[in-house]
Amino acid sequence: MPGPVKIGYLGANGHPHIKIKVWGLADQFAQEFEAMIDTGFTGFLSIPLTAAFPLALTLFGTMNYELADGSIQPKLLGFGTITLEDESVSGTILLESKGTGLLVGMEFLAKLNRALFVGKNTVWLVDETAIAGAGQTTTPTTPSAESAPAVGPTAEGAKSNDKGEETE
Amino acid sequence: MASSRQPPFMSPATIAATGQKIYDERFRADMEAHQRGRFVAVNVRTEEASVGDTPEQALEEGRLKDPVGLFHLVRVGHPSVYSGGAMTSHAGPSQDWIFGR
Repeated sequence: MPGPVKIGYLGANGHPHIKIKVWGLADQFAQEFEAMIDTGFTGFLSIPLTAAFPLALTLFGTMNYELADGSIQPKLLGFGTITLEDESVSGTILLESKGTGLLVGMEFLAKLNRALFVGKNTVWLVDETAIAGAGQTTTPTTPSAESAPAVGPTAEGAKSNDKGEETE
Repeated sequence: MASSRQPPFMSPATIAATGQKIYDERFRADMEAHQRGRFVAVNVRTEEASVGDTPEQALEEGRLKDPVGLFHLVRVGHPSVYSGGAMTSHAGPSQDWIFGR
């Protein structure tokens, strides 16, 4: 069973990063990359086209992508799998023709059922079922600044079982 | 002699423009009335549309109908399927050598 907490790190630019493997038709094509977690990106994975060539991704066609300034650009669209430690999820992959790094977005976190916690030097990806119970004990609808640390991976995550039920 | 199964050779920009045009002219009105928020894979070869709750569902459905299809993916009621923040390099001014922007 996948572990409840996966660890990432802060890159030189101060943004959260994780090490992932990406592959297409078969895992024999998998390669390891350092990917930035971009919570402003709603998609699954964005990868430079030149990095995608050896991975045997399935090419489907195109889609429209909205930039931060509101403009729309067409992008190539593929399909593949991301492996993070012992867990794999598949999804649509944006193939970026400009030579940039890999970005994983909100759809990746949702498919993996992970909540992102960023500390001073470490990044945690916590199984949401493990913190669901903790969320119910704190208040309500909007998490406050005080309640946020209480649901961190080292605090409440260790007190919950696999079903998200509190064990204390 | 070329096989009849051979898809036409299209640039990515042409696939996107053709797919969007097919969607706008043939499917947009009906989809926005009944399928808002769902995903549509428009096959630019056959001009067929496949609908799904997720991008993967729509594309897989399209591939089942036409294994060599080329698709333009649309999210019904939205101008784009995905969007990116300021960190995404896509917003940069550098030349896009596929789409020519």
